[in-house]
Amino acid sequence: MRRELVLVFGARVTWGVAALVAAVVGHSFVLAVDLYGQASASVAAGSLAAREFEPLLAILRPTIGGWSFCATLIGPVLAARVLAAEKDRRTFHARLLALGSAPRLLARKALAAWLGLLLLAAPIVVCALAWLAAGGHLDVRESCVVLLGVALHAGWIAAVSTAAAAWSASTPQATALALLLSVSPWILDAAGEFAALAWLGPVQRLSISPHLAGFERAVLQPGAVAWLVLAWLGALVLACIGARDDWTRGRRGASAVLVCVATLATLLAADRWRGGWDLSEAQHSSLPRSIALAVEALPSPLVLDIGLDRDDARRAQLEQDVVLRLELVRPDLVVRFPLDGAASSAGVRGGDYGRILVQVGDRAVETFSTSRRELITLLFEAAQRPMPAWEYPPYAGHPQVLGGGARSAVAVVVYLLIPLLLGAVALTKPGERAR
Amino acid sequence: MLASPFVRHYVAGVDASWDIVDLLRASPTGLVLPITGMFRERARRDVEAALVEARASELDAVTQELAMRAAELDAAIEGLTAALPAAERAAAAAQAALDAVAARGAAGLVRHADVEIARTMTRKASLREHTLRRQIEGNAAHEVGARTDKTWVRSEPHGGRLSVARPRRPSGHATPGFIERALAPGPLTTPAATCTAMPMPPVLELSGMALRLGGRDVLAGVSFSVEAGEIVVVIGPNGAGKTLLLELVVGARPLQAGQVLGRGVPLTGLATRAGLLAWVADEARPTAEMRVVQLLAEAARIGGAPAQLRELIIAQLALGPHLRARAGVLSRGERHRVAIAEAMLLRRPLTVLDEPLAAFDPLQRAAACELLRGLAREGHALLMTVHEMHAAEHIADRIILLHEGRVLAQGPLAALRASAGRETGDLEDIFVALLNRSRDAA
Repeated sequence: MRRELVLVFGARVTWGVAALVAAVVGHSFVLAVDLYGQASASVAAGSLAAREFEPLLAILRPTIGGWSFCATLIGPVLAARVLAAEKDRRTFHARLLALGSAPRLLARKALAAWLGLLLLAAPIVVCALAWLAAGGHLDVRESCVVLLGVALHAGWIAAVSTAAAAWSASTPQATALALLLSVSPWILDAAGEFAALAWLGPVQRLSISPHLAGFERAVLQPGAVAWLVLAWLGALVLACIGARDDWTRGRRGASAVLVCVATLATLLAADRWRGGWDLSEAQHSSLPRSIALAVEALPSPLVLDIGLDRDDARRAQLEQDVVLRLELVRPDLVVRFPLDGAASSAGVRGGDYGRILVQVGDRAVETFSTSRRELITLLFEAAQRPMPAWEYPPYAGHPQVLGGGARSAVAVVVYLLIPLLLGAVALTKPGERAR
Repeated sequence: MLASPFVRHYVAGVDASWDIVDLLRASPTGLVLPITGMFRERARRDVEAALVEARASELDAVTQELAMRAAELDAAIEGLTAALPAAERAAAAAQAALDAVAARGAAGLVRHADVEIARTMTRKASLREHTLRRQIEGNAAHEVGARTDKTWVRSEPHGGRLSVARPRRPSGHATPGFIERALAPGPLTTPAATCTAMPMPPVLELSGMALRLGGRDVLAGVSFSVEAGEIVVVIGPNGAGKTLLLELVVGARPLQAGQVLGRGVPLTGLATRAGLLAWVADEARPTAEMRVVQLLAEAARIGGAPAQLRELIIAQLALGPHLRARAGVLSRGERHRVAIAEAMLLRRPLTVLDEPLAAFDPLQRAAACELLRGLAREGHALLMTVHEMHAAEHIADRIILLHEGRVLAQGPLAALRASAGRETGDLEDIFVALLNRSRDAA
């Protein structure tokens, strides 16, 4: 393992990239702080409620967004290098023979790559600490869940990059393939944004993004964790097959297809595992407690037929808000999108477009509103049960305006100090002599 | 073996005094020479006294280690002797079964394939019995060596260090030396002279190896074997298929046709290959970010190489000055030496090297050849490609001339001479003659 760690942390490129990523993450953080501060000023004017100010969503999430962007585009370069560098140096097969086990060697490489990607995520922690030092608020528990999502995402990039490197002959090939795999979720996610990509809809759940969404709201979903871990394992098994240069192409290809099919089957099975725990501060990612208990007692089946296209912003908002909250209390909730099956949604957009059918048991009611409260009310109406009083969870919100001095200090730390520190470490690492 | 800090301190003192002497000699006065001469003599006496002291303490340590090894080997012999009767019975039963099957096979009652299966099973049983015998004999020989080795350990000042001299013994001597046994790949590999019960299968046996790339037969019907303690060198013109052949052997390419056996067992998986061989690719560059000492320590840990072997390989490949350097800053030749040292420290029965001597200057090449020959003497088999005919001639026990994917000639140099129809001439002449003859024939 030591060799793999040295390959990652002893390389100048790792620290150089970390410095670059630190600057991007810092920029995301400063932008988020500025926006949050401007909006927080409205609370004093009474135009916005303090309850709406969640540092989790407004500070941490945009900062992580900066990391996620870099990890997707630059992370594969570092992660694939752990294995590909040895192929370039013509020592990979000798190491396989020395250890006598491909899974052992590849697991070490993936683990080292993962730790390297976590180094890129270190600026997130620094930004969070800077925010706390400047007087901001962050809940430790919910921040940990968010960082767990980051770690799982990093693990996925490390695993697919290792697989890409195992199937490649050189670093350029490995990097290109790893990048392709790394950005593939963006292509699948785009299916949710454009009707033109609706044909990708059925595979949209194979993107990593829907499985990371819960972590961003501090909701710990065992199904999402299982999905991500299975995706890692599938990628590592593929890497083991790719590393077997002594197998014929046919054998490697057939084995890879089998592993892909088995992995997809297990991923789909894990995807059906709904529910989870809301670990956010004051459980503000859940429905109010009284409502949640009442929804739990509603008869089955609980069905939402949502007549919205993939590229409709209201649909994404519904999925991330009402559906996520309902699934926490009712994992058996069935959500259907009838327009997804239509050949061309343009023709369907008539008077029925935007209709949401809420079915509880054998009774259904409909609405065109996507409001959380409206939909929950309709659930009880369909069930012909009284709805308990809607009480917001005791979450006070944390508006925060960062003053001139504090903002400048934060900016200096995240824009200059951290990138320069990482850059300085990069300069201490020796380069490699070409000949 | 490194001298104690005490000795190093005095050696440094002597060096310093010599510097002073040189300085004063060069000075215009020249009057203080007798005084510096006295100083130098005194320093030399101090060093000698310190060396004697260090030698005594090292001998104590070696004696203790040898006694411990002897005790361990006693225990191993007891265990193996207990297992031997069962193995003998199994071998006898397998032989009887084989005879019966062979008789039925001769009578046409059993398929030929079944006879072959029975034959293989019998060979495995015999091999098991033979292995146990060899282990017992090997351990007994080691034990004798462990009890007597201390007489072979002597120390002498050499470049400010203490070194352990290798005992000179005639070829085929049954008792290896302490350092030589440190070089041995494991308890199973004892000198061939101790093996009398049954010939072991070759370390490596290739038969009918063929490879087709891009619609061209780059290897066709290549067959040869490598015995324990043998250095087999593959030579041939560029594009003859030398590297491809080695890549097939180590499993860096899929085998399309033919068979590769290691110790009589097909090398089909990574684990079986890993148990048999180590590989150094052409132009291999060890992990650039690691220090040489870390790379060697890791290889020694994996191979279970003792410190003496590590010291010997470091000295022989002149890696001492580079131990603290990162592999990435080394020159091409230095990096290649590190790669070879890593492979040697893995202590596998067979080491496969692609152009191991290509990046060396003549002195380094001679030292590397000496190391490789020393390893071969201890039972290691080496299969390598070499481009420099002089080096190949110097190091090879057997030479395989590959041309256009086929074995043109193989054998010791004398056999190749005979093939080329020459009574004299070096390998380069023979190489050219055989290739020309092949081209003329084509």
